[in-house]
Amino acid sequence: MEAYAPSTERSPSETWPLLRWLGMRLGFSLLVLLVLSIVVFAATTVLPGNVVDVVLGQNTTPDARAAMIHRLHLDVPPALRYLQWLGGAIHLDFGDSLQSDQPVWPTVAAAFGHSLVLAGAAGIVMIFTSVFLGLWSALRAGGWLDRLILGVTFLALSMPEFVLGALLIWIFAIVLPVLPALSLVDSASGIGDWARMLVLPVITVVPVTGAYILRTMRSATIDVAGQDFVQMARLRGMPARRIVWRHVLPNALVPMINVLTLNMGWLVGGIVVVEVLFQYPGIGKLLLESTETRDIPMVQAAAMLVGTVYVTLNLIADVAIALLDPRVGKSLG
Amino acid sequence: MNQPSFSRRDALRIAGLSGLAYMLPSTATAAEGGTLRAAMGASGPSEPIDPVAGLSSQTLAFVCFDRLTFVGANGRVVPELATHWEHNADNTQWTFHLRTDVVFHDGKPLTANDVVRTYRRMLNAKLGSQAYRLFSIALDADGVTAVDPHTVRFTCKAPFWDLPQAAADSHVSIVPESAPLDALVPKPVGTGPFVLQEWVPGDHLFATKNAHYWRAGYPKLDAIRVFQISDVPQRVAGLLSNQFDLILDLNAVAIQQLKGNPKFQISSVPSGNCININVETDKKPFDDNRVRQALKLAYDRSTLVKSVFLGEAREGSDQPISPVADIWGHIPVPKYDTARAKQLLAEAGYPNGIDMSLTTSTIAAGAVDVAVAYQQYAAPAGIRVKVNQVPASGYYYNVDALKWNAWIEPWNMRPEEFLFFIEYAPRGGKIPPTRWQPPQFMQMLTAARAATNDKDRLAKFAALERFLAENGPSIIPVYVNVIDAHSTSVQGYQGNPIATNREFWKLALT
Repeated sequence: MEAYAPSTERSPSETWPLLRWLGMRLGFSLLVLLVLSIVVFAATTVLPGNVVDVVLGQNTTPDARAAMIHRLHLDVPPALRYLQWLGGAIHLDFGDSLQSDQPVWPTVAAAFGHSLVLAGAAGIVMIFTSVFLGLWSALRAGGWLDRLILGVTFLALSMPEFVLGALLIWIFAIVLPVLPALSLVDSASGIGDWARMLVLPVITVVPVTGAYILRTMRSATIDVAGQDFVQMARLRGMPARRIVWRHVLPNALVPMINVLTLNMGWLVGGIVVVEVLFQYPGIGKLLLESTETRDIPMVQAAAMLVGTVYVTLNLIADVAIALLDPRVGKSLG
Repeated sequence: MNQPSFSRRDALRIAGLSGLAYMLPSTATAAEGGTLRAAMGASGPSEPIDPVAGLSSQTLAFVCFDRLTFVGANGRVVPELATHWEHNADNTQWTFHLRTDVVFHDGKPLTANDVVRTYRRMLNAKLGSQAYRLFSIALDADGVTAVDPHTVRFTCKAPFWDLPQAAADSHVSIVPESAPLDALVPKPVGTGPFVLQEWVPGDHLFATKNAHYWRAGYPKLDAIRVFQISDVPQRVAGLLSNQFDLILDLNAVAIQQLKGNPKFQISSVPSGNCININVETDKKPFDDNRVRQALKLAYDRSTLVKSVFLGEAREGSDQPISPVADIWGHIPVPKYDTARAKQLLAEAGYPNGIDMSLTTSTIAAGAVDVAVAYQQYAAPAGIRVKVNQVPASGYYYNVDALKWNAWIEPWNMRPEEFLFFIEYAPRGGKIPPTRWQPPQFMQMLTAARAATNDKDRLAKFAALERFLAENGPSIIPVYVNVIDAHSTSVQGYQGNPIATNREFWKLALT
């Protein structure tokens, strides 16, 4: 007789409704992206300050103004302009930068690549430390170690990341100059350079998100560990290690998927402050700077990319939950 | 990861061609090599690769290009691509003679036709160059002609006494004849000390030594990498952690960390960069000159220089020509006199003083401080200032749109002092935001520009500066120094009062 551990196997009669649900979910994501494109377009259209004057400067000529207005299609009604832009966007052609006259997409893609690297590095560190510390803390709930971890995470959650970052720069780049103050990675940087320049940004970012994940993992673990089937397994003499690794951990991770994917999304597109603090050429910094210079095509491309990342991660999270948790899968049929 | 818009293949092709086309004997000198890492604010790698475009003087223009002349650290105009020049009695005709040993990065020799094309592009209103307004008052596109392959003639429609200074402007960096008249160049092919290899707009640029540069023995560096770091403290942090060798455009506060540190050298050069309080003269109470004079008397300039700028500045005299300029008229700095200010306000009909809202932003170092300090200094005179700080983006747009009655406006020094006066003259058909247009101003300006001997010209400019100081719409309390810093391994660096005049070709690393 097996313990009452929920099985992760699925019967054939449950697959078809799942596929249909998947299709609908995908369609919904595309709809969200379309709405996002309208919002991004509308938002960049109503930015204060006439784009033309801000970009061309005070001393420009009427001819140049007229040429820029035509180039930005500002002489075309907004709805039509939106459709023209959308048509290009589908082919990843978001136009040319108003600052540099070069196509916007390669710059945006490169910045996105950098953000992925930072998010990846921070994500790996974060997941391994926070998830396992959360698990460990929960298994010793109420003990002094648990209380210590809770205290530290409380501090980490309360401290703004730019404060932590500035402090780290001061200590490790200026007082004892062992690490670079700015993370200026570029095509000339080797693996060693990348590693050195990622240390401080990663250490800055991990406590803030990590603390939240740790606590959520801790709660989830405590929940699962208190359930009947775990009690049953223990009563049946199953070794503790096996219970934790094969039953508690996988079940505790399911509610964590949403939390993890949302945090990954933030790591990719939301850590503008950290990117600017370290001058790391990520997409958050690009978005901020191109908004300041009113480089509309760049802003639109970057905003769409960040939005797409969030929508995609959300989709992955929902699909993962649906596949892993048959209770959810059954309710879809 | 990066996709340069200007690929290595292109750069190699240019380098290869220039190698085949021209062999110069090079004089080996000591201290050669190395890659200089420099960091500056936004007027660097953000700017387009075509010097004719771009909002301010561009770094790329001094990395990859040369101009006919250069304005050195002492304010004197020196030859660059031109060897010498002559003019007629009333400065309406100039003849520039070019060097014969210059080649572009693609191997093509420099000729007068390249210079003609450069100036005609800048004078093409369609391209909307920032220098258009400066040159077009005195010069038309067809006034620039090639007399022979190494002689260029400028036939001006009005006297242009400072054409040699104007020719040093970054927007007339010399481009090849093949540059399109109506559009921007696709690649930065110039005659300058470095050849662009990689450019990530808004982030950094990387350029390598031009082996056939016309200045024999230069550049000494192998390569140069310029980063765009908008935040001044971050530039300083980068210098301290040995990520940069040279950092540019700093302020007094930022360099306190570097003072006394033997590893670094600070360059603080008096300049004509000024920070103005401009008022709109068709709005009460600023329409009365007595009120404007009172505002000027109520500024404690010596305290401002000492406490806000920590001595790295000079007191201003309410007009934009500073002591470092050739045409400085020795205009005295007004004394801080709140009693007299109060008196003037009463005479003008404001016995209880005035209230004013002063708008400022973080558009330049010290811009906010100049406004906040004024609040303190002007209070005893009955001038009650309310500081209105707004975001930096779109600031100048709002200034032009006459959003505010009184605002802070920082101006950077240019090679041609005349550009300052342009700020008070109609701009592209629009009246300047101060709405100050007394007919005498333009009359005096035109007369000063038409003067044919130096003594007469200086006297006329001095009179103009005095007129501006006594009647103008600007309170200019300070001329700020241009402050840069570098590690002691950098040789040959010299700060220039015109901050953007960079002599990258001179630098070496030890």
